[in-house]
Amino acid sequence: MIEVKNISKKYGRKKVLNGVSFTANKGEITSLIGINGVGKTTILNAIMALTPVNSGEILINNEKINKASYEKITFIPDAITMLPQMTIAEAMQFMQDFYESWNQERATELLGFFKLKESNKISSLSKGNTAKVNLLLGLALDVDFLLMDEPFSGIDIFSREQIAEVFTSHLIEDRGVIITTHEINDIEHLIDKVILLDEGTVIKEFNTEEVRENEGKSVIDVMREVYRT
Amino acid sequence: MNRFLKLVNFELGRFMKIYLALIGITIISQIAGVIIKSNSYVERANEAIYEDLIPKEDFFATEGLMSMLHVLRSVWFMGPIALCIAALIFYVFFIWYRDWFGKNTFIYRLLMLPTARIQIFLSKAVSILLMVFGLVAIQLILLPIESVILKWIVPLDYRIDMTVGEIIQNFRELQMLIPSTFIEFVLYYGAGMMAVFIIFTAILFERSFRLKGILFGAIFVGLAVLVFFSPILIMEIMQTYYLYPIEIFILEIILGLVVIGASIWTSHFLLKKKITV
Amino acid sequence: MMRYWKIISITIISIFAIGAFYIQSALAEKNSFPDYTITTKSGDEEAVKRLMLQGTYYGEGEQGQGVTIQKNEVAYSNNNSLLELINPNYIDPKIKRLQKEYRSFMRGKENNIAPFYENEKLLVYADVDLGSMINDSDFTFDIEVLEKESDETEAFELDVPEKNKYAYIYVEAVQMAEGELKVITRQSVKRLNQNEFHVYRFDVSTQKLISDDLIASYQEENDIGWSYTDLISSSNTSGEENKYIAFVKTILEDVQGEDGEVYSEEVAKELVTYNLESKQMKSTELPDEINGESHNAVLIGTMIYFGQESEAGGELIAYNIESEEIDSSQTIDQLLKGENNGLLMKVHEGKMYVANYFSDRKTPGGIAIIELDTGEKLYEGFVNVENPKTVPPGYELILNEIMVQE
Repeated sequence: MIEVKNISKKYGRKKVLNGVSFTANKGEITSLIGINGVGKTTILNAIMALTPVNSGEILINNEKINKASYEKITFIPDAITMLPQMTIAEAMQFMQDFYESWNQERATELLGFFKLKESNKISSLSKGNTAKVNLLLGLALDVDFLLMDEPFSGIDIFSREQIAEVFTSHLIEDRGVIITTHEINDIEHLIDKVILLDEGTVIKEFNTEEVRENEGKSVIDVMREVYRT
Repeated sequence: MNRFLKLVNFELGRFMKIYLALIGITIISQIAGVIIKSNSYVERANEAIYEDLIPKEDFFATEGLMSMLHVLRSVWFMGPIALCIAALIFYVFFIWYRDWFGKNTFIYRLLMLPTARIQIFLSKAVSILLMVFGLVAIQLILLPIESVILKWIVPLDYRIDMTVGEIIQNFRELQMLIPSTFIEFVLYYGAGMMAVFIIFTAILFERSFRLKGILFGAIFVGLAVLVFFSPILIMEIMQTYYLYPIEIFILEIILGLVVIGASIWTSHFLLKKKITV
Repeated sequence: MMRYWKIISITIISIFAIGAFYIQSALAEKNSFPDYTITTKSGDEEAVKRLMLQGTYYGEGEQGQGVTIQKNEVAYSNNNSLLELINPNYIDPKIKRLQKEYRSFMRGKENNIAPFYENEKLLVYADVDLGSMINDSDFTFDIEVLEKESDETEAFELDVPEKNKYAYIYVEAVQMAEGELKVITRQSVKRLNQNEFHVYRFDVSTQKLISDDLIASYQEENDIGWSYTDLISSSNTSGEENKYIAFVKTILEDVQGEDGEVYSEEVAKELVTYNLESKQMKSTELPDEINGESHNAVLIGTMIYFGQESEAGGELIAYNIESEEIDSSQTIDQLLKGENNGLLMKVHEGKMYVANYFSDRKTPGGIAIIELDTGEKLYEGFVNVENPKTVPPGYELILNEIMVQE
């Protein structure tokens, strides 16, 4: 379980996060949704200790993040985290060199699934394929939690479909996922939990299934209600 | 191979093309320098002695005998060394900033490695040190080769032969890079590493606090310099030279280690708590 | 393993090349510079056992290397070496010995023997502190007396009288007898073209200044010209107090040249002596035989020994202050005298050491040692390169100091 407890962050005088709290469970897909992108990415960075917060606390399986945590949780940012001059094979080799949780079998499987060629240089890949490699590098780790920042932004429709397919596959199954997006359509039916953010605070947190069954509303319906008022 | 050495190897790899190019330039330029300088000396000597009929003794008295020192003073020899030094100084900064800038934010990957983050810091420092040692080693291998080439071109009675040790001893610029005793070698490069650590910490201040961090970094550098030179500064200001040179020397070594320790500890703290992608 | 060729190859090449270089340089002869030796022509070798000649060696086309030559040892210093800074060669042997024997007393004291006085029982230090950066004429006497047997130090500081009058104050000599400390100083008066010699007397037991006597002004101008005065250094090997202080006063007159320009011409040299007991000052003209070069002169008791260059090479003239006569003269004619080959002299413990400044392949450098009392030549010899074949033909050695180890 990832517990985000009352975190706040300022950039200069500007408050980006203001007392954000939520939890994300293993086996669930939690989506951070907000109109303006700033706060969402910051939350993911904060969870991974890639940026400091001014107050609050984040626990991963009841522990503060430490070096061993990176074998249990990984983050797929919206840009690729490998050097452009590397080939896909070299990028995979790098992951294998440094992560015990690297699963080479799954990596090979994903290569096939995404139809990627190992010998290709990252710098030569299309936007869609770069995003797929980025995803591959994260998904091939045997981790409990996956954080994804805008996995669908700026890529073509076919790549989006292919990526969305991943969420329903065994590749995700038991893991906990936190995903940020402003385009909910692609994955609306996949999400278990939604956290709506505005101006650095959580304005609504709900379970998609409950809302759908009890109130008969879709995620987009709820969003309309919240943001229009 | 453990993760730390893998990191070092990886860091080395990222600069390897430029590094090998630097070595290539050094080898070509220095050897070309030996050939050009030697040939031109022999030509001048022969012209003076056989055409202008100047007695040999007189020619050597005014021109001096040919030796490696003539080559060392030329831009062919010192040029590539200066280039290598400039490149490595540039790389001390670039080795960090390259991870943040550009489309590919490799710093995410580095910070998410399941290793203590200080290892990133140390691996970058060790990479720089190894690259410096590598260049020093190449120079030490090149010098005897260059001496042999000089011997091929210049006749025996036109030249003075020198060993590598003699060449270095007679050339101050080279002696600063390759001091004559091993203790000094350790001390010089130890001091160099201290400087690299201090600059690294300043860079991490900037990367953690951005604009404000430049100020913090400058203050850190100032403090480190102040602490390291404090015995000398205090004595100069007070105009009392209370300590014997050997005591100052030992104190400086201790202070150097303190500064290195403080730099590593501060960097460890910044990487763990304050760094931002 | 091939994937790690970068780290492996750089490490191996570095260790191999750098290691080989330092192992080789440690195993090889100390360095490639020539082995200078002192060869005896006549006299007792014992006399040069403690002699140290300091100078600079120039190989052909090479930069100068500091060198210290002793009877059985040549040490080349390395100007760029850090280790040279830690254990410098240039420290006066007497200071070196004092630092070794009285380490804590000598702490913070500079490499200058002038403010020290030593006898069997006491080691005295009396210097003038030049003040701080803030107040540059805050001159104070810094006096420390170490009783050797009990290892007890008495230290006190006193303001220099009229301290604001002076731009600088140097201590030239220190003497002590029967609890009375005498400090002889040279100082310049601010904003005036005037320089003075003083004798300050202190009572060490009460830590008080007894007197301040102005004994000479060493640069004076008058209507017809000007004069300057140099102190002759005194040597007190026996620990006895010197009765006199002596100066050489050079008198110059303005002369109108043919082209109308005015220049100064030396007209006379006077010997000025000051009797510390009677506080009497006396001026006498120096005999013509003495050229009065004060830097190669030394005062011992009532005798002044002038070392000077002469037609034959060099000579040593002893002059008695009380009888105002030349006592003896000893010619050092065996020393070679060539072009730009002057003499370097040093008096130490009653002996005068003489050496040629310059030597090269054609002109060997000579050494002589003369007993001052008797004028007897104790030793004669040469500084030579042991095996000249191995040295570049255009080599030169230029000496700049004679030192005698303690």
